[in-house]
Amino acid sequence: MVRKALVAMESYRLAQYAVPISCYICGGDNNYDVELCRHCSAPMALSHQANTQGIEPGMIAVLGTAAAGKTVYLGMLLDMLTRRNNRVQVLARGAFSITLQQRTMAALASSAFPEKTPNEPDRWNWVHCQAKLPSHKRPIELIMPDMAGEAILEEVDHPHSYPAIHSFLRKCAGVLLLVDTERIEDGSQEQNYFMMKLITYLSEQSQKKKRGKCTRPMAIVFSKADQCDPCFANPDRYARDRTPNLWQQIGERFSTVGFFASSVTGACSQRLDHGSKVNVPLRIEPRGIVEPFEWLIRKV
Amino acid sequence: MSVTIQQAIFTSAQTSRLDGYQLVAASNGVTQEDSRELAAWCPAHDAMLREDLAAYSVNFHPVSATRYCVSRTINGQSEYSGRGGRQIYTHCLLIDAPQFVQFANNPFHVLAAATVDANLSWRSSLPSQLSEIKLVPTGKPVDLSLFRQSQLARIPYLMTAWFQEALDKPRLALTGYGGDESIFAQFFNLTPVNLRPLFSFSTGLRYSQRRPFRFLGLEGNHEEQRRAVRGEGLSLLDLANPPMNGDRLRNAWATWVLVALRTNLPASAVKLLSQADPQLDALQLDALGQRLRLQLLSMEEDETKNAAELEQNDASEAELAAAGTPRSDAGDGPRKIVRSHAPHPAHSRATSSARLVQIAGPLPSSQISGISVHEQQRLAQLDELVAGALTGSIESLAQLQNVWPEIASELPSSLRSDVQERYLAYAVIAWKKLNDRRVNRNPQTAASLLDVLSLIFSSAA
Repeated sequence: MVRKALVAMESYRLAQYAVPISCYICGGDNNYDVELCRHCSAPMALSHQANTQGIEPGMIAVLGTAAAGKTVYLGMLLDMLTRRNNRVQVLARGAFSITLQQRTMAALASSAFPEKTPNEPDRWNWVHCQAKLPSHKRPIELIMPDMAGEAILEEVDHPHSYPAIHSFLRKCAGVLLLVDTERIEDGSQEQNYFMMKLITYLSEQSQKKKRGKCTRPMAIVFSKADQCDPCFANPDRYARDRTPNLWQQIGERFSTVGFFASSVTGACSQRLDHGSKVNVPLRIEPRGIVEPFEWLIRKV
Repeated sequence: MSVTIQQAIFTSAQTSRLDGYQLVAASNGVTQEDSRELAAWCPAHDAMLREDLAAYSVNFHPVSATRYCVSRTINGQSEYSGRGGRQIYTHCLLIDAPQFVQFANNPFHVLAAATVDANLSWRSSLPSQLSEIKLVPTGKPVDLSLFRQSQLARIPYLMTAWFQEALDKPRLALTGYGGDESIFAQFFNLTPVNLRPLFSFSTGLRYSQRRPFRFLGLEGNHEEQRRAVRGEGLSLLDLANPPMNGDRLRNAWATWVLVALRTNLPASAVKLLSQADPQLDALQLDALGQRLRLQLLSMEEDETKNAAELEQNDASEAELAAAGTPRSDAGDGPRKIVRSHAPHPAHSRATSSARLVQIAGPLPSSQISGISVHEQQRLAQLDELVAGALTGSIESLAQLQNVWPEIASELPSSLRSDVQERYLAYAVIAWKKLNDRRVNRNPQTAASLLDVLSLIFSSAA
């Protein structure tokens, strides 16, 4: 049967499509109604917020290898800062900014760590928040994505393979670099090499405009430090003793660097799940979570 | 003669290079560029639609201009990092375009051969190096038994809708097929061989912008369906309720697929599909669809012979494969195939004519005098199609759309008007008679009649 119908021409939609909206992260043009940027998969809500509210949020990158603890750190940090405290107050911008905090805390509450962050940028959690320091009158707008460790290394090894990471690292105002203390204590050199690669990558991006040391502030956070008292006692010394390459590189290339130790759990255990070991957080005792972030936004 | 293909494994592991998802092992022929492409296309954590150990996914995509990847993804053991969730394990087979042609450009043929000749199963201890695989090309360009599967139940309509959407839209998310990837194999079976590489696909994977598959099989996962339709350039096609466009709105290749599957001439249709031009361009698909449909309609009487030929070829190939000896022509003659549901060729036309007479009396073609034998034959063909269309056959209406303009252009204008009047009268009588037999009037009958009449009067204008 041949069907014929009259369809109203919604020509105003064509007019809307004729005006592209730039992605806040990569700057690529998109249609007004897309959810994620077609070029880098960053949420277009960031651009809409920036446009409608007339703000230009700064960017903080949370970097580290796979399983370094980026998701747990960021989720716990946001949970702590969104509660009432006397140091830094954070207000989430947009419902999507709550998801990371919600998932992390839900997992920890059920005695589990959150699952690994997928490699696909369209499935990352992005946080857009407003941070307010007691000493500052005006709050600071910040964007912080929770990116997969493999994706970060892939971008460092092969630039432009992840446009979101490439653009974000080029634009970010400060970096929180998470180093897995457990693996350093195990004698693994992988953390060292990853950090060296990343530092080189970041410093080269910055030095395109300016010779000399990079001024972008960088907080080196030794995560999972609950099993390593020397690290908590003196993170600078720990870095110099246990990660000399990192210490050397960062001193040569960056002018504003801080070393910190942090942990989320008081103790961990393992259980067997279908013959494989799964880590179980026994007590949630966050230590050193807020300090690196507070230091970084003061420097930014 | 065997062909050499490359292989690689992409999964989550702790290696000297990296922790997490990476290309843990690859054969020597996998280049750096291939590795980068595979890292972009291969699924990582939480990318499978199902989490059980029986879940698996078949994927096909280009790696470079001259190389393709056929991969199978399964759920492995728990994540190495102890964070919960399963390790996703993908075994990739990389094949160059000239070698792929030997598999009829069909990823399922490559996968079937590799399943026999190579170890695609999950390995607890991951190798750091893989060797190349030698595979013996198998499978026919168009498989008759698979074609017959496509003729069952609602599959012809499903395939028609799929081809219609596939040729109109850049990317499709498919739902409502119950997770059975054989439906993808059937799609490839109905696609001309040289156009098959255009259709990258994945089954059983979540939607991601990073993996721009042309077809994304989402089974019945509603959350992923919602995510997928929010993505740009992706359209949803529910194969459980395939949309049936009016025949005039459908592209000719989709109509050919419907006619080929609904006409009881599988051997002839397979023969025609197998003979498609190896240099065929996607833009020529419409014209080819029209041509094949007309050819198929004229092959009714050759069906038995074609079926016998195909069966003989199959038997010879099986014999060759078993014995490894050249084909002997001194074998038995072709076996006669008897189709249980097909009318005998000598009676098929008579049956249709009888149906037409039963509907509304004397045939229009028999009432027109002073015409040549050729014109008589053409009008008889028109009778068949009109009868089918009036009784609600979509295929007949589809064929009528193409056949009538041809016949109308062949007829002198005075004769054309006469034919139009005859069919108008015939349609009115048919409408009355069909309604007299029923207690309630069926609006579908009126719609069919109007379709036929509007076609016959408008196309000839």
